Amino acid sequence: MRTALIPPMRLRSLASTNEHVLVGVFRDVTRPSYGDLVHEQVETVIAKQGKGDLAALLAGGDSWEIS
Amino acid sequence: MAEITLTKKDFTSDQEVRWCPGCGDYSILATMQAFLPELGVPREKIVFISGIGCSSRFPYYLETFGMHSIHGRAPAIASGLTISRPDLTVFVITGDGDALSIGGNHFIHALRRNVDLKIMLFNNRIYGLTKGQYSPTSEAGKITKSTPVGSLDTPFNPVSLGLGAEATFIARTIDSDRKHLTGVLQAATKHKGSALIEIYQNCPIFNDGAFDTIKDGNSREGALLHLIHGEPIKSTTHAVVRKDDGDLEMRPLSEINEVDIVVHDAHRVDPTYAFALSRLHQ
Repeated sequence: MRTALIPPMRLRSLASTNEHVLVGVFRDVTRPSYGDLVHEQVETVIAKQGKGDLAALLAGGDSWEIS
Repeated sequence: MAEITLTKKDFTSDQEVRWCPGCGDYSILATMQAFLPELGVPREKIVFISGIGCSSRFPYYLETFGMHSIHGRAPAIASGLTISRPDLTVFVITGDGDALSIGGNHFIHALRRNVDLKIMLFNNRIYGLTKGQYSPTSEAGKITKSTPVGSLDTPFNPVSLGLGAEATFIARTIDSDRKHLTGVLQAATKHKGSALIEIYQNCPIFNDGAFDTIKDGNSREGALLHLIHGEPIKSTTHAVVRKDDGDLEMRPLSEINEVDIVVHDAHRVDPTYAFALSRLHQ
């Protein structure tokens, strides 16, 4: 019966609530941020292929066709 | 041009604060208003973006730019802003329901990508704004209006979840401990990339006393174990030690030797150590 599950679950809840709590910084490691990676990638591609023309791209032909 | 020194008053808006009397959000707001001048960043370069929930009223009360946005979607909106305007300091204000239920995917992907955001997760373990339904962090067996005979699901542990999502900075603090919260904010704002700050926040109306053990003057010194890089992890009564099988456990100080206490290393790249710490308390 489903309700029979409740008492032990509540006991578990009481036993695990805030007896001892760790506070502070658990983890602080370095990895490139997404924004830095995006800006670096954009600059690299512009250096290789030029700035491009968004309006021309939007008004251009189909980029793919259904065969 | 002369440098202008800002004060707490400069970051306090003229809006009437509308939270319930005794809400933990007041102390978080006061701490943030006092901390912001320390950042040395002009007000127009700071943005607070929130989702939906009690805590998400936060941006109204700060004299900075801000946006009270869409339920669970604050990390997505903030990601677009910080990527297009890297000169801004962007905070996300969210709660346990907003971040972990409605916005679970936005939350984990912002962390995975290491988007330059400071995410403050106010965890009161309840849906307060909608009048007291159990949330993704409510303990199993929680009796609420939506779970009259007890909730059946295992709660999220936000620190464990953040680590699983590859977060590079994760901290936990308490609404009423102004000094500790300020220290965590200082560390988070120095971090380049995503920073997740879980704040235990009391809801005096729908989940009062959820964090009493760690707030009560008689019990808190024994209950709180402070994670300080390079220092042993211990309270006045307990400490973290490594078992023979390599797992971490919490033991009474009276049962262990001082030399066996684990010395905290916040900069360890392998996340399994931080994850093990996060599991010492559910």
